[in-house]
Amino acid sequence: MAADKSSQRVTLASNEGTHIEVDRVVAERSMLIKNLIEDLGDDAIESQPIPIPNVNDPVLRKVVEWCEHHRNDAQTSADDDNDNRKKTTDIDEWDQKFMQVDQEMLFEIILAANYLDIKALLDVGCKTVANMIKGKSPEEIRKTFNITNDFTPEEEEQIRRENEWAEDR
Amino acid sequence: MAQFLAAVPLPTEVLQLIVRELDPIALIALSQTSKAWRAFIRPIRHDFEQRLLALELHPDYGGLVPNWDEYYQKLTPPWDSPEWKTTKYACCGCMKLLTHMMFDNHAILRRHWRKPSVGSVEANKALRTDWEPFEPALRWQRIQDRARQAREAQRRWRRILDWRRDYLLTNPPTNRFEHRALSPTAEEGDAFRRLIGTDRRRRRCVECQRLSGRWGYPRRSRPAVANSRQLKFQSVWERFVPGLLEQLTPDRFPDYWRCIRESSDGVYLTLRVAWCDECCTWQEWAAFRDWRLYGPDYRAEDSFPPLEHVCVKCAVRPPRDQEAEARRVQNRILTFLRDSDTAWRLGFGWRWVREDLNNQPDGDKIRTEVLDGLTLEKGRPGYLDQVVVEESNIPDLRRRLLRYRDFVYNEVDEETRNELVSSWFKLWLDQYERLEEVYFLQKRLIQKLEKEPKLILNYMLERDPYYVGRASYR
Repeated sequence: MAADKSSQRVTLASNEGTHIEVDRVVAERSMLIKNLIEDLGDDAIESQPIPIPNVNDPVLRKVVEWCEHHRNDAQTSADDDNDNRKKTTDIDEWDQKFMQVDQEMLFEIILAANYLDIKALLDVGCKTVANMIKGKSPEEIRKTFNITNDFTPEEEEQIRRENEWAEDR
Repeated sequence: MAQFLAAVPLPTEVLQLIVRELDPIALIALSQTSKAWRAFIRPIRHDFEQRLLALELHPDYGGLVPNWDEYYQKLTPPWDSPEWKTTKYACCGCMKLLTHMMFDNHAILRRHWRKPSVGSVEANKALRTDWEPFEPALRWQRIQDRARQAREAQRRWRRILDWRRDYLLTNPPTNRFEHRALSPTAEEGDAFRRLIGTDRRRRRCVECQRLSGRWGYPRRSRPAVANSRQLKFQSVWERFVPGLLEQLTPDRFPDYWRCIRESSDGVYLTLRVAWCDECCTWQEWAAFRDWRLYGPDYRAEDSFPPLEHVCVKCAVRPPRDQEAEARRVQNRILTFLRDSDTAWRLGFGWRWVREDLNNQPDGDKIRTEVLDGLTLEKGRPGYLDQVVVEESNIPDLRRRLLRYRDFVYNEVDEETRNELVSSWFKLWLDQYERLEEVYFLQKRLIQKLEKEPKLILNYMLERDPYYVGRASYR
């Protein structure tokens, strides 16, 4: 018979071939891994690592770090999604520090969270990107995310008209 | 390739999640960064309205969020507070943030048009966009569905607030001045949290109202005039030429005597904004040729001789007669100064002094000193003769008053004093010197205006104090 879930360990293999061993409850923050374990059975994960082909080693380590910290959080289901939207846009202090990484890493974490189906991490990632956009002018957003202004003069004129709200009568 | 955020391409569903985390201001800003984002977000008018309403609540753009207590009818901060100068309101007609002077100020305090305070349902909408990744037509449908549901919910919450009105209808106050304010219950507080500011998108500035025909057609008999805020002025002329003429410091200015509300050292006057048909601008009512206080039944043709409803700046343009207009505006202020009741107020208390001294047994001591030789003029039938107040006899009246005041406050027992000194008579007795100051101030102002016949006109043309676009009035 398989060991108790809380003490069971699983090994994750990044796309670079490195292995990371974590508690099963930590790995099961990912709905993808949880479903995989349920499908394959406990014995399968004891004998071989779970391949995570879309995630490289540094990103996988970051994701595992987040899962470790949030191991005891309640799982959110897809149905809760709409309710969660109504709640605050604030990000937990620990998560804010966790997300203080370069832009490329941030997007990789978001992609990994999306692939591994970790809703809460995906939310934190999206909120972090949203906070990077909030309070900025279009020009500042372009600079932050290296976006090229490809509007035609006519479109520029249309945008100027959209921003006439503060002009004096 | 369409360019979104960075070198790492994110799938569409993740981009959608990011966009849904934005606030309405950031949503539009992002849509204005590149063609790809514009095509992805496809902002509709609703998004621009939401951005404007969010900007209205942003301290950097919309200024303060005033609090209007419906039960106690108290505005915080009050209308004359400097914070109001930076306060702006959104008009979803012309899609602009405008100074409160460009709105009917009574209307912007209505429950559904007020700015919602932090924590209310409407204020929370400014924190997060309601953007959804659908076609514009489907989005409109969903927005309308949500609005319908919200209206239903609001109707239920309104019922909670209506019980007070029902209660007052079934238990009317015993007299019309009885005040029945009660603090709101927790449930009512919750209802306010859900109802305040819910219809701000329908709020319109005076210009949008004019264009939609609120005041009829151009060159109408009824001018376009809207209520603005009520301010406290030291004098009526100060309302029309703010900051031009000499004023007294508050400690030297007498209280205005009031019958119903408390006597105060100022007069409360409602500002109004009006449309000039000629220069096509909104200006404070004082900028116009007719300074009668505007009422709901106002009609321009009632003034005699009939005046064009144009501002003074337009009224002095050639070929019109600038000299005549200068005289007109000067005479307006002079009329205020000459018609003021200061002389009457200076003489007001003497009839009571005479009655007191004639009726009080103690009055014999000073009767001769105070009353002998007073210049009187015949009063109306049944009334005592009036004391004549002129510049020449003011020192003499002051001497007599000081003697009487000394008598009342030092030589009469407390019970008699309380009987003698009350209400307006007390104000007259205590603030007599202030009334004298106002009397002499008005004399000085009249002399000044007579000496400089173009003073008012030059002030109106050079300082342009009536422009309402930047809430510059006073």
